[in-house]
Amino acid sequence: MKKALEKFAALAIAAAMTMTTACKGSGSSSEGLKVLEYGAVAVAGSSDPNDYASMYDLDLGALVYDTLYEYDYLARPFKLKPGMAEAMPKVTHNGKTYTIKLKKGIEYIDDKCFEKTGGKGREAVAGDFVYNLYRKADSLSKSQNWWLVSGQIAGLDALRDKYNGKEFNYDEKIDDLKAVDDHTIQFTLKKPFPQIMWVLAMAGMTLYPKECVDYYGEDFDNHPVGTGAFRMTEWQKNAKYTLVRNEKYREDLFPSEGTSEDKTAGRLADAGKRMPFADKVIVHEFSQSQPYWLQFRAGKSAWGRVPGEFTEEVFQIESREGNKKTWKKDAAGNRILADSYAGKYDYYPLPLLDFIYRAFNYEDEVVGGEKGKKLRQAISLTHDLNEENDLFYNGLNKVYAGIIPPGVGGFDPAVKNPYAGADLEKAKALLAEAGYPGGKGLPELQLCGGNDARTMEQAANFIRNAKRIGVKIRYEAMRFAELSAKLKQKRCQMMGLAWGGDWPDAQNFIQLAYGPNKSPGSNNANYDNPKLNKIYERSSVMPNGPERNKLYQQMNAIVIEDSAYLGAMARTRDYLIPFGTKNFKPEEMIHTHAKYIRLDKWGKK
Amino acid sequence: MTAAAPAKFVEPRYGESLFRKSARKFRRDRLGMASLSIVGVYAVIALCVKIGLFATLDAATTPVGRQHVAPGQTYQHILADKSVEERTSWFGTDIRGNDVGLKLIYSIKQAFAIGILVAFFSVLIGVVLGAISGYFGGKTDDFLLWVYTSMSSVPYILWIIAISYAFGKGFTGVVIALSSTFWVGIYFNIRAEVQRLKEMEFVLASESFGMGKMHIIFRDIMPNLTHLISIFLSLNFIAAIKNEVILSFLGLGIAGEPSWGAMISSARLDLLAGKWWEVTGATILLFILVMAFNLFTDSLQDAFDPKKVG
Amino acid sequence: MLTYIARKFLAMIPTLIGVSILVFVIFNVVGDDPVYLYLGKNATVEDVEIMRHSMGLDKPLWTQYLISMKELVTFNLGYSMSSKEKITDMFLNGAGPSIALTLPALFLYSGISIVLGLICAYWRGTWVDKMIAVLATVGMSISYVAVMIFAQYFLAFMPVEKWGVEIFPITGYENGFPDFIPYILLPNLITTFVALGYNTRFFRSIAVEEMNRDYIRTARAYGADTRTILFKHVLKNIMIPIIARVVVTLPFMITGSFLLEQFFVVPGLGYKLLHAIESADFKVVRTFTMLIAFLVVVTNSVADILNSMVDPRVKLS
Repeated sequence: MKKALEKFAALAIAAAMTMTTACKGSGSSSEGLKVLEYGAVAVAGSSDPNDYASMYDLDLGALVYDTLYEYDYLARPFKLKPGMAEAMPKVTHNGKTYTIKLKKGIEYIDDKCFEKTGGKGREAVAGDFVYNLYRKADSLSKSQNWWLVSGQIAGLDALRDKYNGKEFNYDEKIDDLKAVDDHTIQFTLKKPFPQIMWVLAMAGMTLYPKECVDYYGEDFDNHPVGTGAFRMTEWQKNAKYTLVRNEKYREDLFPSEGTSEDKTAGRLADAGKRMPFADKVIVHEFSQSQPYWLQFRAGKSAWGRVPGEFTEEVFQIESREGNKKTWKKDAAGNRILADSYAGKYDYYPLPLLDFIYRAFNYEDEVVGGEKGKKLRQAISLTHDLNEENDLFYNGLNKVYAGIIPPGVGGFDPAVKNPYAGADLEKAKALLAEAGYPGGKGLPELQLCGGNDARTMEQAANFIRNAKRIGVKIRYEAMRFAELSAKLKQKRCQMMGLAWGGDWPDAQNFIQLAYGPNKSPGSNNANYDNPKLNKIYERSSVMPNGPERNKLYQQMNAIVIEDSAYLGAMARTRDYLIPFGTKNFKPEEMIHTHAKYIRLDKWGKK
Repeated sequence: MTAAAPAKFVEPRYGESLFRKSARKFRRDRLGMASLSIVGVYAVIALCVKIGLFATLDAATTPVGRQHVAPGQTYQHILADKSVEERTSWFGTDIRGNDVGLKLIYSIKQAFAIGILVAFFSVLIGVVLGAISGYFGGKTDDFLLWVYTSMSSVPYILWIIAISYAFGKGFTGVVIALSSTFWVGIYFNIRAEVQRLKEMEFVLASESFGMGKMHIIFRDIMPNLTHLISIFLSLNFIAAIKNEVILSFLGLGIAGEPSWGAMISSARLDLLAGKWWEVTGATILLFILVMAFNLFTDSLQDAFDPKKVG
Repeated sequence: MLTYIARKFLAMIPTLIGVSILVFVIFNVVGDDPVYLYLGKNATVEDVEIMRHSMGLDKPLWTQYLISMKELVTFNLGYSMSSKEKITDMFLNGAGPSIALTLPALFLYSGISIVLGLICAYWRGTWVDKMIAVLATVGMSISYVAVMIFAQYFLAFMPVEKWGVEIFPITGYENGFPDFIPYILLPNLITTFVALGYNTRFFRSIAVEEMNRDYIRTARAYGADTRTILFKHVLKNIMIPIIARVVVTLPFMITGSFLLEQFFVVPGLGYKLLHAIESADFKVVRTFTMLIAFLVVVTNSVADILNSMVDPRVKLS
């Protein structure tokens, strides 16, 4: 079997090579470099695996830093497969000890920071993984990613505390995180945490060489040294970054299995071929959606996301009734592209794992706790999320009850939120029961949120709705730094926020409602219900399965009844893919698209 | 013409008659009068909104129909009792279905409120500090001048951002941020003028009669500053409403209530998708008011100072 | 004269100290708390303490101030927290785009408005003068933000959208000559348009004042022709106030225009500064503000000196 695969791979490579030469022959290319160009709708902040803070950081990081495990590109529901690791980990000790074998011979890119070897990149070894986690635990490194591992490995937590604010001793050995040999990583969790596998697939959990961090110091961020499919050659911050193919990249073949949809879409044509296909990747970073969109329209991007304000232009509308737009759909239930787009692009709607919500500070005197429950329910009943969806999202968001978004295990479309608006009569009655008939005696409430124009309009709409039963709300528009500080210091009464999933598991969303995670943790609403906490602790050590999903649903029901969250919505991202772009399968949990994509006509530069 | 200029400072109570003379001169200025009447129309509308005659905050922020109705388009208008009737929209509706016309009118009140308050406070601070600095000189002057130079060495937009940190957002925040930045230019001019005036004979005369310092500042010097003060009031009014737009653009404007700045910064996304009416309406109304005020200020300057041409 | 210049430059020191105190108070004392932003999404109370300590935010304010001043004076600035760039590099990298975005416009609008000013001065009181004056007022009445929005829409967006022709790029910037040129055209046009009104009025007023001087009347009486009077006499004499005004404007060229850079996504100093403010990156805010203030103070002094050379009323002692 293995032999056959190898043979197949060799054939594929040969085929790919003839194809490349063919390309060279037919095109008028002067250098023959295959250039892939695309736009990013936001700006990457950091390339240092210690500091990834947004998915745009990961979009860059995952291309230059390889991971132990990676998402199977075509498989849905999501599946992980080995990347730098030889195989899936061996899990022992009741799911607590993970032993991971590294592939042999994977080398870092050449860089002048490898002083011993005269600039030649050395092999990536197990100790580098340990170093990565040590560096996250090093308080002086100010890692933004400590949360990925904090509380998981007892010895590592102890090191964090021991060297709190002091110089970290990277030579200290601990038992529950170690390099058994150069090609074996082993760590032991405090208690089982099956989601750790998703964590291991994140770019922040890569391997990178300590000597390069030491060599570059703070400048390391501008000189990523990894084992990824590409290496960075230029980074104009806030403008663009350029990557070139990493000649030393491990043998990585295009997946040969996919869904039936992948087959019809021709995404298996390159099965078994060695990746990456592009020699050079140029990513243009935008901080506004319109220029991004125009550059895509002008044919300068290998794929595009339709910004909300252009949706009406891209898709055919069947009818409008008030603010509700009904989109024309084909037999499969997909929207139909407008004529000017239909001849050029394929369309792919991607439901995001999103939690767009408003929440009440559970510790607040007025809206918080058991005491504020009726008031929260009343306010919740004034607001019609479907209307908000029609007004601000072209009716394309998915409105759902509770905190488990569609697309993860545990989501139940049948669940309804009895406090979903708008039902003003019921809201008024509940407000009176809460002790504020017609809003009398209720102080003006404060709602915190972002300061961009659209968010402010949405907030105004929400406030307007609450006013109909006499609840007065004041909006405080904030810069991001200000908002995070206010939230983490619990100084917001209500908040309008969004949470994008880190991995495709309901746990990543439910943890937002787990009491011990309250501010400055991720539980910004400071919601704390002992009943839920208990179930959460039980579910968190359980493997994926119907039993765990049942617990998830129980927790969701508790959250809905408490009405601590007002929501929620999940966005749908509309991707347009030019006909010449091959192998692109939109998914925002995956950040390595650039290595899979093949263009019919490569750009040249 | 040129000979008349210094003479006006000889008589202590010249200020009054200068004012009357200027007023007469101003009335002859047709462009000035025309612009004043435009400003007047705006002011009357602002006043009506303020006392609640029309375009109340509630009316301006209650959806009247579906979102993004274009001007001239018919739509289902929602009446107060929730029934609908077919209407033709004059100014269109915004993303939430609010009437853009009502928002525009409500914003006139906002503009005047901001303009008047900022002009008043900034001129007050500038004149008081400038007079103190110019008249007393010495350590006080040194200190105030130091604050002035430090503040004016940094782009003012940075101060506005910084001060809006300290005093929060919304209407009050905007007024404080603008007032506490705009006094700087006034201070310097008033200081120079007071320094000049205090060497004048009539002030020296008052001093030799043993008049109190406050008496001299307020009775002798201030009347001679009226022309500068009125010009600054009007200049800062303009600057305030123009800067409200910039603050909104930077996300530091008035949240929750319509204003031209909020309308422009919010609807500019819609403009690119072909919905031009909100951003255009706000731009035009703002432009007319600012232009009328600018022309009015020019005429005012001409009326006060025959030599002044710029 | 030399002592005057020396005194001018000595006087810069207290001003710069003043700026540093004001900036420190406003950003470090009442500004956003950066700790929470840089902790990421899942922090603990201990993490907050650790971060606060490692950023030196637990020290007394005056110590923080002195440390920050020491860093500034010794130019030991290190890296930006938000963008991870070396702060000195950030300033140098940002200065180029900012200058490219505004300096051509400065020359363009100065040139045009000087010509217009001279025309007005020569035909003072005629319809030409009046029309230019009114147009200048109209020009300076248009909101800057509105000009940017509509210019981008009509000159950059619509041609691409409607006809598929790119006249100007919508936004963006590229480093290096000549790649940057397309990106700076529209912003420069906008700056020129917006600044033209103000500057025409200014130059008109100084030119008129010059035209009213006795020597011009004498020259006219002797039958000197228009061109000689305008260019030989008037322009020559008003050159120094013109240069002084341009010099004063220079530091603002270096900061570029905050709004332009923000709107057109040009990574100049203004853009970087606004982003540093957004992300509570005080060190960057402080450094940039101080450097800008330094430039302003220097150029103001130069302008004062220039003006003092022509205006005998300014006391030189």
